[in-house]
Amino acid sequence: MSGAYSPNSRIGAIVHTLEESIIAVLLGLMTVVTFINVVMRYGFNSQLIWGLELTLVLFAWLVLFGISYGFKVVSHLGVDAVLNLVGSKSRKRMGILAAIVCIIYALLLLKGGWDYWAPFAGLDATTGRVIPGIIRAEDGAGFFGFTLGEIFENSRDQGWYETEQLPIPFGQMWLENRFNLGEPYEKMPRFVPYLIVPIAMTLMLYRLVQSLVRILRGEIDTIIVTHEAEDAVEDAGNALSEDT
Amino acid sequence: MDVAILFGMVIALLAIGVPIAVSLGLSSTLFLLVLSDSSLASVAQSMYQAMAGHYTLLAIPFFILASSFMSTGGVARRIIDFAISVIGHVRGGLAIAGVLACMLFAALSGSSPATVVAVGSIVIAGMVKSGYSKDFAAGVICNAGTLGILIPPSIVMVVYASATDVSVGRMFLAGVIPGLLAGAMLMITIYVIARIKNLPKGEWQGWEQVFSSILDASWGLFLMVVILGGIYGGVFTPTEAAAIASIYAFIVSIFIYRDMGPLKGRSWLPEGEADLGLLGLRVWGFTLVTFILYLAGCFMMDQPMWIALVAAGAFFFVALVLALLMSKAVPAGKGLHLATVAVVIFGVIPTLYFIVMIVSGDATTLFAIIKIIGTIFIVLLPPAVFTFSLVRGAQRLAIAGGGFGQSMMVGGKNIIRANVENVIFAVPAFFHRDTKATLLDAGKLTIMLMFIIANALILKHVLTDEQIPQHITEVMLAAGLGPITFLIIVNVILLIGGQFMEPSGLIVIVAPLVFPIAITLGIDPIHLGIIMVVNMEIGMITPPVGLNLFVTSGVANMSMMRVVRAALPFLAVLFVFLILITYIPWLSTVLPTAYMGPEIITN
Repeated sequence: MSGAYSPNSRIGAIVHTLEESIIAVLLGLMTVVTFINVVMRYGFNSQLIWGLELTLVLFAWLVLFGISYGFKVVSHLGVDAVLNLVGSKSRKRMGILAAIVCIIYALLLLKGGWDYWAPFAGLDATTGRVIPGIIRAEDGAGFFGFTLGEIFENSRDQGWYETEQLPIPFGQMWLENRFNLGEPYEKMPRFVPYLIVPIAMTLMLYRLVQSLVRILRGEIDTIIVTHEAEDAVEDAGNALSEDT
Repeated sequence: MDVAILFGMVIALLAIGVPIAVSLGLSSTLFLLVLSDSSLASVAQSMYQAMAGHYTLLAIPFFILASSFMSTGGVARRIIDFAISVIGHVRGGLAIAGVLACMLFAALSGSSPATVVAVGSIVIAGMVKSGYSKDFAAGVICNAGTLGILIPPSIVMVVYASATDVSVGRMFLAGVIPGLLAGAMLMITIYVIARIKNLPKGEWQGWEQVFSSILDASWGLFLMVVILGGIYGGVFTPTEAAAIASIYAFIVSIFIYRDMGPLKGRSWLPEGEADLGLLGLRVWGFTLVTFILYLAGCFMMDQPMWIALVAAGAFFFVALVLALLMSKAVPAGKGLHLATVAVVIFGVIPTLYFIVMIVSGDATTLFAIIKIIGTIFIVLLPPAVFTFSLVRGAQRLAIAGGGFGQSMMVGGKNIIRANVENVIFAVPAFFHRDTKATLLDAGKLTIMLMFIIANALILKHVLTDEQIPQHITEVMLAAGLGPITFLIIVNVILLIGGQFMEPSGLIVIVAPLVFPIAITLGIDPIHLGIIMVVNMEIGMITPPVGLNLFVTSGVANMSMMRVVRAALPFLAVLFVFLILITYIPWLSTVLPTAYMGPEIITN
């Protein structure tokens, strides 16, 4: 069972509030933008042409950003059928193993996220398919046919890719000079919305390492919950046992 | 073989307690790295595009948000009150009311565990108090709670529609008849058990209680009308309907029900004036709602605004006279007679007129039935609700011992006060901590679901890249598989999978596997979707690891085994229901086909 998460330091509390506010604001914005667009269509025969795209981007931001928060407050769904059959010692071992598996996942996605985003921002993606810098050797020499190489490859700059409709609210000059060789942007360049991908994966990795430490210290024994209403169920169960 | 390793890995990871999303994502990523030349960047891209590239899935956060605003104890309480006042007086009535409440609440909220918690925590305690056994109560709620994913709007249906490219509107329509049928089957079973076991029955609380509780619950239940009416009226897309629904739910919960937000605890009538002002408040309130409805109508249809003013004025005059008569008739004991006369004049006669028009028209039988049901809701229900709520108002006025004029004054004063409060707090309400908490709750649930769906989509890419669905189709067809055997196989896979997996994630994975086979065998995609949804439902209450069993055992404070045993008789009913749904496609397809024409397979 998870129990509600409570931050145990002042900075922790600030970060916690910040994370929760970001999630609430992203979802609120999505709803309001969609609502305004419908009202404008029926009331004023017009629409925010970038409304839909903005909503979809906010949706992606909400979910990707929230993944790390979900690991922090232990709210991701899993199956505990087997965990409940074994003793507490094996339970802890399986918890550690699960956390390590998740960290591997996060590492892979962090590399993927960087490689995806970097060319759009005019930066270099990493080499290697799985581990940066480890590339397949030309003639089968090296360790298991792999050899060490450069960590970054020379990626084609894709900074000129723009989104479909999103306008640039501010900082246009800086974006153009920094990412597009001074060429003008008509729409928001793509690397801005895509930025969430590497950020989210970094945060996820950070929270997972934290989870692993918490399991090792014995603060929690699992990184999953079995259903979305666990806290509410506990409250309701307690209330009912007081009644009857 | 490769696929067996892939699924074996997913199951192994799930078993050691890795989150579902990561199990799916990591297995598929490793699979891609080993067997194809896709890069990790493309995996990251599909994570991002799972949200940014799926307009249909965008409905999910909005539906979740709408139901979070509606999932407060206050709304559940009102719906339960209504259900009890309608059906509570028959034998086993409280249990039947529990099923009805679950069906209605399920229609507002997209999630089964949430329904079990909200309705179960109130109803199970109530049933135990009125002399039912706790096992029976838990068994009923545990089963009825699963109806949520079948009765539209349903998140699982949105996911199915997105995974197979069928229309969300069709899926929602297809769920209506099966949802009602499942509810009816559960209710009848309870009634039969109640007759045999002589279970307790409640008191009939009178028509005025029925209609007063409808009035109370109607603000919440109108959410369904907003969503379904918006979609089928062609006004909104399902995604927009969901967004409008969340704004509507926000307004109702904060400004009308005042269960949360800055106005919490400040009811429309203050404690001391509650009896005296109720009649007046209802006259003013109904006039105001009439005005707003007509205003919106004029605005949408480009008519001049004075029509709304005239309509509201006319309504006010009639309401005033009726309320005045009522305040005289109720103390004289003639309130119900007057109400009956008024309902006949304003409700029954126009309804009969419309029904005659419909029957003499040239609509097909099915459409005529749909239209008649619609007419009853639009033409008969509002006058009945209004009239009987006036009876209740006049009764309370008689208790308070005030005059009619006094009631109108107090009611008018309070409706102005309450609306001034609404205007003052309109902006602060957006930033209130309850609003933030609700947004956060909905956000968390969205994140959790979409994290799974996004990873399931990666797995789906792996399967389609490797042409697994085609291989399976070939093997199955070569084995001479008919539609019936195929559907049984689907049933078994989903019943097992539905126990472990979150339904949305399972749909994303299984739908692309079975969809091509179903099309080749000539099974309607909508019918297949409903079968899958019903299977998910049953998976949730099938031992050993059905999700709803866990939730119910938590809510009712009972051991797992006791809940399993308690749920078994009703599980049997749902199995019969599954067989009906599987082998009578008509149940699922008749409404969408009648309303939107036959399904055209685009694959």
